[in-house]
Amino acid sequence: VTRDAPELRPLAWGRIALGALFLLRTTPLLLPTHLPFTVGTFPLLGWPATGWQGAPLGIALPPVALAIACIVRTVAAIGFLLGVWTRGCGIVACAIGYLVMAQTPFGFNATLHLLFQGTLVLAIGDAGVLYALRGEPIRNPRSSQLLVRALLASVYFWAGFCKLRPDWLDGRTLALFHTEKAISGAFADLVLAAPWSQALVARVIVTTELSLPVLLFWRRTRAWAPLLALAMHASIELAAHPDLLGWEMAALLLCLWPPVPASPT
Amino acid sequence: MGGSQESGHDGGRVGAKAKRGLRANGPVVFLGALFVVSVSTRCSSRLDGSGSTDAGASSGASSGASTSGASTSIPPIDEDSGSDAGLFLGVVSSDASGETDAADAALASDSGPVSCPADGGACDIPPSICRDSNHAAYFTNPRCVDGLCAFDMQTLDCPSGCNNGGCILNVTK
Repeated sequence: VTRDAPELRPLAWGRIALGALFLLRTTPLLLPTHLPFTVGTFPLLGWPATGWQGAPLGIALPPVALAIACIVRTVAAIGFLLGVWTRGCGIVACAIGYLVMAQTPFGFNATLHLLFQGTLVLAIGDAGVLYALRGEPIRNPRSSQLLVRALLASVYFWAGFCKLRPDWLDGRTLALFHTEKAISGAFADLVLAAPWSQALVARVIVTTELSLPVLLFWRRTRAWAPLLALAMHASIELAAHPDLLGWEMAALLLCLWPPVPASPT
Repeated sequence: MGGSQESGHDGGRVGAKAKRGLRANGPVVFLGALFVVSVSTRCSSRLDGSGSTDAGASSGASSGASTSGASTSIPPIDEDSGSDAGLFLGVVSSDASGETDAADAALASDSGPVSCPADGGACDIPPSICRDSNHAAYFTNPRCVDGLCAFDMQTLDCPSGCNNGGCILNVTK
C-alpha cells in the first residue's frame, strides 16, 4: 500500500474537519457568536465547572486536575488536527474528553459522544498519513475507511431503530417539538404544517435512517449513499438548528469520498 | 527585468498549484465554507431576532411587563450573578404583544399578591415564567409574609431561548 491509496486523502479530510469541530466545540473560539452550544466553553469546556459536579462514574477530579485535563485535551485535539502524533493525540483527546464529560451528572450528550468516538476511530486508522505535519506510517487505509463506514452505519441504525415507536411514527413527537419551538423556522413551518405532513416527515426520517446502513455498505449504492445522508443532515440543520452533530456526521462522511463506483462484476 | 519575469513565473506556478490543491481538496473546502455560512446565518438570525430556535421565543413575563405594584414587579436580571434569588409576592403580567402564556394565565388569575390560604396551608408555588427571551424564572421557598404568599425567585439561563415559561429544548444535543 502506498501513499497514493485513494482512501488516504478522504481520511485526512475527515481528520481535519473533525479536529476543527473538536476545537470549535470545546474551546471559546465560537463564543462571540453566542450560539447555544458555546455556553460553558470559556476558558475551556468543562473548566471551570459551571454545572452540577459529581462523580457519576466514580472518578471525581479535583478542580486543578480538571483544569489540567481540559488543557491536555485541547493540546491533544490540536495535535490531532495538525497531524502531529495523530494516533496518540486522538486517543488522548477522546479519553480525556469522556473523563471531563463524566464529571457532570447528566453531562452526556450525543454531540460530544460522537465527537469523541469519531476522533478515536480516525486516530486508530490511517487518518494521520496525509496532510499531517508529522505523517504516520500507512497501515491499512481500506480497513480504516471500513471502520468509519461501520461507525456511521451504526449511528444511523440506532437513530432509526429508537424511533420505531408509535409516538414518533404518527408525528406526535415532531408536532411537540414544533409547538415548543425546538424545531422552527420557515422550512420547519412548511413541512410540519399539518398532522399528515408531520407523520410523513417522521416516517421519511426513520426510513432514511434505517436504509442508510444498508446503502452505505451495499456495493451498488454506497457511491451515492453519503450524498443522501448529507442531504438529510442539511434538512435537519435547516429545520432544527441542532448542535454540531450534523457537521460531525458530515466530517465523517467526507472519509467515504470520493464515492467508489460499483465494479462491473 | 529577467528577475521580475522569473518572479511572475513563480507567482503563476504558486497560483496554479494553489488552484490544483483547491480542486483536489474540494469537498473539505466546500464543507468548511458551508459551515462558515451556516454559523454566520445563525448568528445574524440571533442578532436581528428573526431566528427560530436560536433566537428563542419571547413570551411570558418580560422584564418590561406590566405588573401590579412594586412588591410584585420582576426585578431586572443581574447578569453578573448566576442566580438572583429575591423575595417575590405574586405577579400579574403579560408580554408586550398582549399575549398571555400558560404561566401568565395561572398567575394572572389574581390581580395582585396572593393571599395565604385561610386554612394555614402552604402557598402554591406558581409555574415558572419567561423573564425575557433567554431567561426563565422559577419560584421556591413558598411562605407567608404579612398574610401574603411570598416566594424566592431564581433565574435560569436559557441558551436556546425561553418559551412558555421554560427553556427551549435543543433537539439534538
